[in-house]
Amino acid sequence: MVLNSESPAFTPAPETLGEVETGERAEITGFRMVEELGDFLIRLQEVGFLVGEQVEVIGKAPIGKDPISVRVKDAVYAMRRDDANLILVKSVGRA
Amino acid sequence: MKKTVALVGTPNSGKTALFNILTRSNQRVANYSGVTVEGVEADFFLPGGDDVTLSDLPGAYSLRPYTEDENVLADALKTQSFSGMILVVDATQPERAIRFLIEVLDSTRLPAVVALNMSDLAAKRGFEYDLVQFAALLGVPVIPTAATRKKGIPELLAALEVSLKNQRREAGVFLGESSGSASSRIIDFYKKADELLKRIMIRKGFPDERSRKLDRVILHPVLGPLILLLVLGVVFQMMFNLAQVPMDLIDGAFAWLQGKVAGSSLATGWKSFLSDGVLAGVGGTLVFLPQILILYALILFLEDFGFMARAVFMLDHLMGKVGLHGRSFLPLLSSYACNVPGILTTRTIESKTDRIITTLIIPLTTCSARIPVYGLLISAFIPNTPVFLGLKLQGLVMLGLYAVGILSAFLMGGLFKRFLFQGRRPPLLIELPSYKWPSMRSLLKGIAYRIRLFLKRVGTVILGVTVLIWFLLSFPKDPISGAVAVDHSYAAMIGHAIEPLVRPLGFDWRIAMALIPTFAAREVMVGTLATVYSIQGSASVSDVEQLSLILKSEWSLATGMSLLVWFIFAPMCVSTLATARRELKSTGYMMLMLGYLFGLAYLGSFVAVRVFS
Repeated sequence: MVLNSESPAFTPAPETLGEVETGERAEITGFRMVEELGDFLIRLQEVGFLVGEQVEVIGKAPIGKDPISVRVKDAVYAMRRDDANLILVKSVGRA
Repeated sequence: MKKTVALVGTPNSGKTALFNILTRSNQRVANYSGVTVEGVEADFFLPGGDDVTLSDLPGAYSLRPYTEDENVLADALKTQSFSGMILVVDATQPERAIRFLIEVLDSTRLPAVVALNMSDLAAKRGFEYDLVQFAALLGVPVIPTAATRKKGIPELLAALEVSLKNQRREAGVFLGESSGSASSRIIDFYKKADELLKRIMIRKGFPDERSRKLDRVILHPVLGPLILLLVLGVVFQMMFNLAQVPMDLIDGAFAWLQGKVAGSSLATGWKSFLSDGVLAGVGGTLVFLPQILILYALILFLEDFGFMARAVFMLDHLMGKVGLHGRSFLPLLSSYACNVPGILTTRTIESKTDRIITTLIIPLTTCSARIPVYGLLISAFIPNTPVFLGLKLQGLVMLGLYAVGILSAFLMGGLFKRFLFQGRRPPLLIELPSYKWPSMRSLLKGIAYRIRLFLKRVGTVILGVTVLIWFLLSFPKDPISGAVAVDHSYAAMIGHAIEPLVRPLGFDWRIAMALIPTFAAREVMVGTLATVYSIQGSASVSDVEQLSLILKSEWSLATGMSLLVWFIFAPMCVSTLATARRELKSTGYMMLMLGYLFGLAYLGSFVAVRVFS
């Protein structure tokens, strides 16, 4: 049987950090370049969002389920899903 | 020349706590030449007796500035001639802190000492460092400190004294020139940090389980928003209720002083000057000190505790709906005491457009200077009839004024966003720091610093303005009797000149006249009205109850309501406008602020006077 996006058991592997479920870990594989957000992408790297780094989504805001909170290195940051979607990841599994 | 040492560190590293422990209590605003923003500095003694200035620079994650705060740091390190640096590293979050440490040490050869702060907490969580290796590899002394417990301070000072004997520091074996693109430099610094950590960290501690558990409650889908509401409710309750007793005391003290002046043997002109000019003006402003103090104490506490970042996290989505940024929350909350520090707090907002929008709408928050005016008008025109459940009409109207203020702020924020700053919403990135019990000493020093700033304003701007107003109201004297006659005063002339402009709002020349000094400080309105009616009538109008009775008999309900609405919107504080101009570095935005607030006030009052007549 082939799983497709309509069968309930199917969850596509997350491709960006914004798609990662709470409690899941992911490894950063790259960034989606958006011209006007160059500074932001550098800031992300400065606080530890580097290619190859493993991060964990640890929660989401109570209101609107956005922003999400992400553990990277030894700190936790809040960021919006939209912005988190600039970070490309591959799934590593549950923490 | 006196040496100045820079205090540099990442946000939440306990830098300010360390600053408060190290320095004597002579904190002052440091104005850096060429930069319009300010830092805080204070003095301390080295063990050898040298008097040194310590400059507390804003916390930063990087020397490549991303926020205005970080701009201050990068700029100060480039342009100020510091003799040395104290670099604060959070021992419980070494990875990111050490990356920044390496970046700073790499950028300058100033003598430096590392304070490995929160070392007690780190030890408790199992972190263990090889300090000898740490110092040797970086080429700077590394001293474990625990600022909130005053540990390691003498050692830190001794190390600093030795370091300051040299003009330049030798580069440690671990440092070397980094070049290339911003991205490759970051990766390079992190590589070095990882390498360094491998060699100096004997044992890595456990993650902060307590914060994680607390977050399960504070950020709970249901409990979280409830707790946030509760905290806000408690903050405002305390601001109003706790402040009542000290406010009455201050009020009483000034009434007593005015009585002393009245009973003294001074000439009538001097009596009037001291009582109606100086004491009425200064007392009328000083009376807000308790409220401002309580609000700041609570904000400082919540911020140090780590709650403010969570509030931003929870509110960002809602604030986004009205075109604001989660980070706008703290500036807006601070603005309820006074708009000026509120605007200064916008420096922590990374995006320029969000910073501009937040600044533009800040004057719509109900700063404490409006409270006495609201109080006076409400007690004069709103009957205190019970409505339901023990709530009375006067209290509800007060609440309504606050609500109209913040709702119009959100509305205007949304409009500015839609029409002036289109495009993608600027990103949000905020650290959710570990929860920490704030140190009493730090809180007290922070509050004391703000009190000094406030008193300075009372002693200069407000005193000056009240004296000027007193003069305008008292001169020229009546040509025939030689007595003070408000009707013929300069102020009356100005009032008459403005009257045609404000007559559609239901204001007569007396109100027009009383509105002029409110541009210096809103709260002066009460004092001015008191002066106008006491100098004019025979009875002295020293207390608010008496004044409200007079207003009730002299003004119509429509005029009272119109003035109330005027006070919600009108841009009536020069300091706020000046601060906005300076912070946004733009006269245009200040004019926009002035214009839209005047527009709203005029329109609102114009409607109000027609609804209520």
